[in-house]
Amino acid sequence: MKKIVKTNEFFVAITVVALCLFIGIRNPVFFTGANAVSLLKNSVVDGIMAFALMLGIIAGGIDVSFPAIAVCSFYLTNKLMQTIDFQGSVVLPILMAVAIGTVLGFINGVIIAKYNLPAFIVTLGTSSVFHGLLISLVGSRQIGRLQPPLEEMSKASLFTVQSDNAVSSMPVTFIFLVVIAVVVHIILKYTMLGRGIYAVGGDRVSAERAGFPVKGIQVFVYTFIGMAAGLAGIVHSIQARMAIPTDLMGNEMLIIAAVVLGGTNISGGSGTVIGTALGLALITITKNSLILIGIPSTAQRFVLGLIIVAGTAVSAYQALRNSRKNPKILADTDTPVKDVEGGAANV
Amino acid sequence: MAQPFIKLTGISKSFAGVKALQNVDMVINQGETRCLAGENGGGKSTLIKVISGFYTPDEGTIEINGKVYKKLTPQQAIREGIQIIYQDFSVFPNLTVAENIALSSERLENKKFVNWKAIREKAKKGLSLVNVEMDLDAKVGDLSVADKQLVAICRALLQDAKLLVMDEPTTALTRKEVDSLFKVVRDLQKKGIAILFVSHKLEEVFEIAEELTILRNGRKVIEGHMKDFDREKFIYYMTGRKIEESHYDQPEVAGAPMFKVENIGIKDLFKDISFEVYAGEIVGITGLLGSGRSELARALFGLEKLTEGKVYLEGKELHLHSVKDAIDHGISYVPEDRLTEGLFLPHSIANNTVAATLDKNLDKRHLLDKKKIRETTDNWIHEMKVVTPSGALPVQALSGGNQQKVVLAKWLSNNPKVLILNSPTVGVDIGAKTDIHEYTRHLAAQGMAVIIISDDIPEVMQTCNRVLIMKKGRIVGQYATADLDETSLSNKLSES
Amino acid sequence: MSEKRQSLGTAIKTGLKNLSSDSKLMRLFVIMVGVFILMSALRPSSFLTISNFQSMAFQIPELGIYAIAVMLAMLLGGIDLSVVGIGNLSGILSCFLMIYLEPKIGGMPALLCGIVLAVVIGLACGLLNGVLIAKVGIPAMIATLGSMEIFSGLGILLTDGAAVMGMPEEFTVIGNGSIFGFPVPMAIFIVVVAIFTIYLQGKQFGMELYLLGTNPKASRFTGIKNDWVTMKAHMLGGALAAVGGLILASHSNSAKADYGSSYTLQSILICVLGGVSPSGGFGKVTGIVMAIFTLQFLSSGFNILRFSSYQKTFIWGAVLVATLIINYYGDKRAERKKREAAKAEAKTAQ
Repeated sequence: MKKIVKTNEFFVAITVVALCLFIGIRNPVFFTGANAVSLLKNSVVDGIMAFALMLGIIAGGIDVSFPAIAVCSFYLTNKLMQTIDFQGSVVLPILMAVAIGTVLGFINGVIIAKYNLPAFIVTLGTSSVFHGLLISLVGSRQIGRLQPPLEEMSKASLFTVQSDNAVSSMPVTFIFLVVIAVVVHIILKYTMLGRGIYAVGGDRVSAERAGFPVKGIQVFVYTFIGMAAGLAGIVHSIQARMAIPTDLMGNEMLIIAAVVLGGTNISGGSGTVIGTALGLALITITKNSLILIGIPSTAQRFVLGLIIVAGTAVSAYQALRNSRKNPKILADTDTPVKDVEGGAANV
Repeated sequence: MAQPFIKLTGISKSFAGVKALQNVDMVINQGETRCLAGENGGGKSTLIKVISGFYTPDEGTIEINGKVYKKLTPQQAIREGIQIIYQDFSVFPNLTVAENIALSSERLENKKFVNWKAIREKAKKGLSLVNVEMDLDAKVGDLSVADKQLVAICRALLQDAKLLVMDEPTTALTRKEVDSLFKVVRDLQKKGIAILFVSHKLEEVFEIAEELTILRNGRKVIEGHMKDFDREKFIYYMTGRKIEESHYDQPEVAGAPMFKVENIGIKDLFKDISFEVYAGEIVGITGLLGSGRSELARALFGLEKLTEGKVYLEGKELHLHSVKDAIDHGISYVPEDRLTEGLFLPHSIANNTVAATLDKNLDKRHLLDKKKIRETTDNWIHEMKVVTPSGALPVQALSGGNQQKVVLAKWLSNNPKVLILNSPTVGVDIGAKTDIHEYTRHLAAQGMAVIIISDDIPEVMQTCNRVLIMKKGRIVGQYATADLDETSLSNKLSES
Repeated sequence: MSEKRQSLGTAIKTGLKNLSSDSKLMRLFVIMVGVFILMSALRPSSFLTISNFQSMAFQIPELGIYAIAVMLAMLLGGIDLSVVGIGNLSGILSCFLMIYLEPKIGGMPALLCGIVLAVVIGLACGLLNGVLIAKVGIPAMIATLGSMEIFSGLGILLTDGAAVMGMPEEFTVIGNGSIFGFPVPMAIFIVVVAIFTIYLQGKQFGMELYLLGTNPKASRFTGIKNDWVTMKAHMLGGALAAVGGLILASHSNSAKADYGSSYTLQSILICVLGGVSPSGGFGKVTGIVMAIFTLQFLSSGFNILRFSSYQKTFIWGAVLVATLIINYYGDKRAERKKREAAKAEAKTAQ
C-alpha cells in the first residue's frame, strides 16, 4: 500500500480525480455518460501515439516526427484509395497506412541507431523531410470525402450513450486504442524486448555489456512509433471523415507532455501504460472540458502550460533535492568516540 | 593438483601501431585468486578485454578448459564462464534487485518472455550463493555502493561464472564493506571459482591474493606467489625503479596559524571539528570512506554550508557562502574525481588552467585577455612539466598524470594561501605520484598551508608532517607523522 | 589606402586561419559558398540582383535572432522551445503599450517605450525558464515546452487570438525601414551578432557558459555559479526572442499569438547546422550566421526556381539530416587523427 502511494502514477491519478471533481461539481454535465464517451473518443488518436511514443522515451530517446508520419500515412492511403476508387474491405487501407508508418519509423530508427545521433534533432529533420516531400510530391489539396469502406467505418459505433440532452456513440476505432495499450503493456512487462527497452534507457553501456542488442532495440522502438503513427493517422482521417494533409502537425509537443506528465522520465528508464493513460486523461480533459466551467477556449493553452509546468515541477524538485542531499554520517548517539590526543602537535 | 582454467599464450595486441600488449603469458587455475597489477597504461584493461572477448589479440592463443580459441567472442567468453565485474558494476539503476540479478542469465538462455516468478526465484538463489539478504523489489539506484557490487556479483554467479574478473573492486567501499567483500571472495574461491583481482592498492592485494602477475608497458615483468613479494619488491616491479620513501619534516612555524577552524559542523554529517594549519605545514586528514572526510573538505571550500562553528584565515573570520568566496579568499580545492569534478575534458589545457581565475585574466575592456591566458598556460605547462605540444590541446588527449597536473595548475594559478587536496593521486601512476608529492612539499616550503585528504596511508606518512584521523564525522586523533609508522597509523584508522 | 587594404588582407587571413582551425566551421563555410555559387549559376539574372539581396536581408534577421536565442540554451546542454512564444507575447504587450501611448506622447517616444517593455518582458519570460530549469530542476525541454504554452496561451488570452493592429507608423521602421538603403532589421541583426560574438568569445560569462555546458559538476567545483549562469543565459535568450518578436510584428505591422510558429523548429535546425552541439558546451555565433545565410541562399534560390514552401521544408530537413551524418563521419575521422597524433606524441615522449 505504501508503495502505491509513493508511485508517480498515484500523484497523477489524484490530480486527474481532483480535476474531474472540480469540473464536475461546477457543471454536472461533466459526469454524464455522454461526456465520458466523447472524452474517450477524443483521446483515441492522441492515445495511440502517446503509448507508442512512451516506448521511445523509456528507451532514452524521443520522436517529434510522428505527426508527420501519421499525415503521410493517411494522406497517401486516402489519395491512393480515391485514385483507384477502392470499394473493398477497410482492412486494406488500414494495413497500408500502418505499413507506410512502419517504413518511415524504420528510417528514423536506422538513422538514429546507426549513426548514434540525438533522436530529437534527427526526428526534427525527418519530420520536415516526410511532410515536405509528401506535399511537394502528392499535393496539399484536402480530400473531403473518404472512400465508402472508410466512410462506413467512421459511422460504425460500439455503443451509444444517451444523457439528458446529449447523445454520444463510441466509435469502433476505440478498439485500436485499447489494443495498442495492451500490446505496449505486454511488451514492456512480459517480454525480454521490453525489459531491454528499460535497460537501454536506464544505462546504455550496461545494457550493451549485458548482451542486449541496443541498436536493434532502438530501431524497434522508432519503427513501432512509426507503425502506431500510421494507425493513428488513418484512425484520425476516419474519425474526421476527411483527409487534410496539414492536420495533426504541431501536436507532438502536447503528446510528449502527456507522456511526461504520466510519470515517464524524459531521460529514459521509467514509465508505464497506466501512467501515460492518466497523463493523457489530464491533457484531454483540460483540452475539452474547461469550457464546461466557463473558462473560455482562449485560455486553454495557458492552462495547459500551467498544468505541464506544475505537473512536472513536483517530481523534478524532489529529484533535485535528493541529488543534493548527503547520506547521514554522524552517529545518532552523541557519545564522543574517543578523546582527542595530542592537541596541536606542532606547538 | 589445480587444473588451469584459462591459459593465455603469447598474447600481443596493438592499436594504431602502438603495442598495448606484447607476448603476454598468463595462467589462471581453477579456484585461484590472482592479482593483476600494473600502472595505468600498463596493459591491464587491454588484457581484461582480451580475456572477455571484446578484443581479439593480434597474436597468441587463448585456451579455456582445454579448448583453444583463436578468436574468442564475448558470447563465447560468457558461455565459458568468464564474468567481469566492472568498476561501475554495470547495473541498471531503474530496475529492481531481482531483475538486475536474474535478467542477464535469462537473456543468456535466449528467453523471449519474462516470467516474474522465475526471476524472483533466480534472484533469491543468486543472493543465497553469496549468503546475503536483500529486498528483491528495491530499485538498484537506491542501494549503497557495496550492495550494488553484490548485485553485480550475484548476476555474474548466476551465469555460471568460473572466473570472476574484478576491476578495482574496492575503490568506493568502506573498510567494513571491503572485509565483507573479501569474505564473499574467499567463499567463492572455496567453491572452485577463480578470481582475477585487478588492483593497485597494495594492502588489499597482499590480503586477498595468492598469486601475482605484474604488467608494465604491455609486457609481463614478473609473476609468482604473493608470499614471495614484499612492498618494496612489488613497487619496484610495478614502476621499474626504486621509489625512495621520504618524509616531510616538521617545518619551522612561527606566529599565528594560516588557517583555523573552530568547532565546525554540518547537521548529520560532522561536528566539533577543530584544527589549525600553519604556513609551511602539510596536514593530512585521513579516514575511511564514509567518515565525513570529503564532506569536511567540501565544506572548507564553500561547496557545503556549515551549520555551526567558525573558520579563520590569517586570524580573520571567514564566511564561506559559495565556492567563489573560498576562491576569492585564497582557498583552493583539488577535488577527488579528476574527470567529473576537476576537468572540462574536451576543452583546451588553456581553458582548464584559467577556468577558476577568469576574473583575473581580463583586460582593461573587461574582455578575456587571450595573450595573458596563453602566457599563464605556458608558464604552468613548464612549471608542472606537463607533457604536451601546446596549451591548445584538449585535456582529454593527455595521460592521467598530466591531467592531474593541469588540475593542480588550475588551482595554483589562484595563488592560494590554503591548498586542499582531496585524494590527489588516485588513479595516477606511481611516477607522476612522486612528482605530485614532491611538488606539494615544495609548495608548503614556500609558505602555503596544505591540507591533504587521503586514505592512502603511505601517501599521508610521506607527505604530511601532521595527521588528523576522522571517524563517523568527528576527529578522533591528531599525531605528528614523525611519531608514527604506517602500521600504527593503519591500526588507528581501522580500530573502532 | 594600400595600408588599409593590407590590414583588411591580414584581417581576412586571420579570419580564415581561425576558420580553418575549426573543421566544422570550415566545412560550413565551404557549403555556404558552394550554395551561393550554385544558386548564382542556376539563375544569375534573378539571384544576383540587388532586389533579391534586399529581400534576403529582410528575411534573415527574425529567424537569425531566434536561432541565437536557442543557441544560448543549447550551449547549456538544454534547449529552448519557447522563444517564439516569448517573441509573440512581448510583441503583443509592446504593441498594446504603443497603441495606448501614441496619442499621449507621440509615435517615436511610444515606440521607444514599447521596445523597452518588450525587452523587459523577454527578460522576465527568460527568467521564468531559467528558474524552472535551474532552481526547480525540470529538464529544459519539458520546462520550455510548458512555458511555451504559457506564453502563447497568455498571448491568446490577451488578444482573443486576433491580431493587434494600429501601432504608430514609426513602428514599421524596425521591420521594413532602411537607413541609406541598408535594411534596418539587417542592421539590428548585425548588432546582435556583434554583441553576442563578443559576449560569448570574449567575456567571462561566455567562457563560463561554455564550461558549464561541458561539465556542470566541474563548473560548480570551479566556482562558477551554475544557477545564475543558467538563468542569465535564458534571460538573454528571452531578451533576444523579444527583439525577434518585435521585428516579426513590425514586419507585418501587427502582433499575433501564433506568428512564426514554424520558427521554433527552424531555429533549432539552424543551430545544429551551425555546429552547436546538442549536448552542450560548443558552438559559435559565426556558425549560426553561416548556417542562416546558407539556408537563405537555398530558400531564395528555390523561390526563384518556383519551389513551394513545402519543398523548402523538405530540403531544410534533408540538409539537417545530411549534416548530422556528414558530421558523424567527419568527427570519426578527426577522432582517429587525434588518437594517432596522441599515440605518436606518447611514443616520442618515451
